[in-house]
Amino acid sequence: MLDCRDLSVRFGDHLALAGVDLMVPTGNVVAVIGPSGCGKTTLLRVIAGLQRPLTGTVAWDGENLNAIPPHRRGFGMMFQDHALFPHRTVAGNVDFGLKMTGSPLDVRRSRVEEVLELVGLGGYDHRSIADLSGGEQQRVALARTLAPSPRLIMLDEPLGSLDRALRDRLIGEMRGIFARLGITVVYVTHDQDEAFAIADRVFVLRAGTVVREGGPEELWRDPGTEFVARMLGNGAVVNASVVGGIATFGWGTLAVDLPDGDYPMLIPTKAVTLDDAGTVAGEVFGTAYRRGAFDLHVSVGDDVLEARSSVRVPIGSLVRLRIDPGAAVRLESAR
Amino acid sequence: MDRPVDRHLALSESRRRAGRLGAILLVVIPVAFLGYFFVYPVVTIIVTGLAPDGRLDLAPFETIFSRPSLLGVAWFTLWQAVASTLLTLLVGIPGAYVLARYDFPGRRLVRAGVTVPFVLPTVVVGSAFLALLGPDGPLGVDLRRTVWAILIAHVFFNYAVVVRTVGTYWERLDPSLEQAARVLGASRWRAFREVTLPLLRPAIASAASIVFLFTFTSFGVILILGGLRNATIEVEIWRQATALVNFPVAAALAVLQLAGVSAILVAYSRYQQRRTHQFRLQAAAAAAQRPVGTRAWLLVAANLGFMAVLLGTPLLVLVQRSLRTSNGIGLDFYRGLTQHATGGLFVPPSTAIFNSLRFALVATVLAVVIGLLASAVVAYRRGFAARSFDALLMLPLGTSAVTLGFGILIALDAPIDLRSSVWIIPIAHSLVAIPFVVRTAVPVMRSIQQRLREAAAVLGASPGRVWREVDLPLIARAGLVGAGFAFAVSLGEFGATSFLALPTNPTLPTAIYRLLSQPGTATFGRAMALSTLLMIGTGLAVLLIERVRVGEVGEF
Repeated sequence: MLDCRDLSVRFGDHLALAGVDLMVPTGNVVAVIGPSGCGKTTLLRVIAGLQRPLTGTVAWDGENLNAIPPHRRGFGMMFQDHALFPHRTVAGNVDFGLKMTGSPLDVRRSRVEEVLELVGLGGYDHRSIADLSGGEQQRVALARTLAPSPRLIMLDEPLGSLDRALRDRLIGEMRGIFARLGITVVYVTHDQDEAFAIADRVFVLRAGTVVREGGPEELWRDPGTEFVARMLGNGAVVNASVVGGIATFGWGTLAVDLPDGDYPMLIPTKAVTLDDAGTVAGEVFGTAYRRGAFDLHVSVGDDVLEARSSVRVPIGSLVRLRIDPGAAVRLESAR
Repeated sequence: MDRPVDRHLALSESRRRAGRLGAILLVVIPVAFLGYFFVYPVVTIIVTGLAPDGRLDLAPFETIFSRPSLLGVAWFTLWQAVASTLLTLLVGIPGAYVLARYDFPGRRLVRAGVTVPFVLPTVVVGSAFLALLGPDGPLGVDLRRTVWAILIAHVFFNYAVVVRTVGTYWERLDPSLEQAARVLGASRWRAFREVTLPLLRPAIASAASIVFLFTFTSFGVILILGGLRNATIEVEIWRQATALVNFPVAAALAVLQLAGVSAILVAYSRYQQRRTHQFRLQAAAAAAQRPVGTRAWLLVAANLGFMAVLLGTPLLVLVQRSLRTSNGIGLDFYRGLTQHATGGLFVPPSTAIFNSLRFALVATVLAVVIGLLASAVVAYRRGFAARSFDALLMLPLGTSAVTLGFGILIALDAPIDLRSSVWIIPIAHSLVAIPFVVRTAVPVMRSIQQRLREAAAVLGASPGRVWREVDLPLIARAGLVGAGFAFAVSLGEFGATSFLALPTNPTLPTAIYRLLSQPGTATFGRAMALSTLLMIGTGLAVLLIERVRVGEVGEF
């Protein structure tokens, strides 16, 4: 089990990590998401031992690793842009970590073959790195990371530069490989779809602090803070004041299952439908066709609600919306 | 009917013809200049070496291979070059690492300072080490006339080559490659050996071949520090030609050296072509970090300390010796420069200052004009002819200065005897400087993207206006940088000048050499004073280069 406590890193005046706690049970896949510059990569570098933390500890199964150099931690890391060795062949790259362990040559050879087979690159041994496509390079990087059988692997935006369709396919493949090997994984990305697809548990990092953690469904249902809700983009964030189970907005009221008070709340997209009998009137000011339906942005008073529609609605149309009662979720305005 | 389109076509036809004429002129002037003043003299040497009497005659070579002293010279040339190269790599690679990977206060200053020795004239380096390693030097040991003096001076001279060539490459090497190796279980040293070093190999090979070429053809440093016992082929050519007047043997030695240099260049280009793996380099400076931990700070401090001692001490001692008179610190030696004829000089040393400035100005104008004309051809034309022309322009870099001077001395006696004219000196200097001008200007000319010109045209600029607003400002800066190089090269040129400058008309380097070859404190002090002045002059020219340089474009 990986157990990071109170990790802080400072670069000059900039606090890249400010007291991060991260726990990954053995065999779990944890994703760390956040906007660029939030400290995701720094967190991985600290766990790998490439960056010394200002405060805090990195421990594995109770053993403090702070004084252990990167090459003795038994961790694997897949770098952003892969960092494949250009002067070695595919097999030379995958073999590197095995060579460092000093295993006999025949063991290494069969392990290289096995891992390349696992990532679907059997027979690529003697190819040069420069001749590979982006997707193939990603697979070699994964094979190189897996080859020495590390107890933990870290992946830093492993699909960053690939196109959408290839990413979807590789995510599925990686998920399968991780499950089959029962390996412990920390997966860093800025893309929430990727994180939700691969992880058992998701940590949201903002300005060097963990602002939310939980299972993918839990996060989607209840983002907790305005920042996370806006990042996930699963609905509209609006301010309301709630008295006795009725939320009052600038444009009307809604029955909610929330305590009294003034605070922001999330109105999930899936709770909003176009309905001529709806109680809320608004004007469509943005529309985009995405994955089989239209995403609509509807301005309602001073707020913007989001809805999905299977038919095209021209910009400027006046529409009526129905909002499922009880669907609104309370958010913390802080952060 | 006079249709505007026809008129336009006719106009562009005549313009094209004018353009072709211009292009021919662009080629003819540099080719004629280099052909007469460079190719002809060098070919004359080769002919003199291989066929002194008009028929193939290998007697001069037999002389070389049968005389142990000459074989000794060849052997010494080779091994001191190998030793100097290895030593420079040994101390330069850690320095390159520190400057590439660590960010510390004063980094830019150190980086600029490290390059100073490289641009210093060989004669200044020779005098500085004579002052440092001589019996009166601060070390208290007399290393003059020993191989050690030569090796240390060569390391001093070429340290910057390794630090700049390897360092610039290292800086742009993605640090995550080394980190990937670390996470995969490689220790710091193992990661360096298995990943970083193989990736640096092309830069190291390139630095090593430059250092080897420089030290293989080393002249000024050896002449001053080596005495008669330690001579390179370059020094021996000069001795055979001037002191012994044995032209056939001197020419044969020059041919041997030329063959050696060509072999290195061919081997090097073969090596660079054989490298197959291509990889992305990243933007510089992204990877430089503050040193963290005692070990990193110690490494940085040790390297900076070494640089200060290796590069700073000789120059400080040089200045100090130029000021140290029998009655304390004073300017006596500088005042002495205007007095008449001391040790081996038939004129006051100040004449040398005047000569050097005069020659440098002429050489600069020649090199910039001819160099820019040639650059235009190389930059804007494609194909075999343009490439061969480019190669012709680079030849003077690969040819030793002594060979050039010797060639001019024996070739240019007819139809006009140019040897006795002092103007042959700036012409020789400009030949050495032209490659620098071309290598500075061509990348700048090529970097002016067609898109910039198109953008200017779309914004309403006429073709002439486009050239004036877009091309000219950038080319003018490149020309100024080239001028700085040419001026510095001319001020310090010693190898060719040593054949061409008469004792009555010395340049700074030849005057310094003459003063140093005479005994006496006064002459020594004046040599130090002249060397200091020469160092300052070169320094100013280089400062100009650094100020007006356009980014990092240019190959020097």
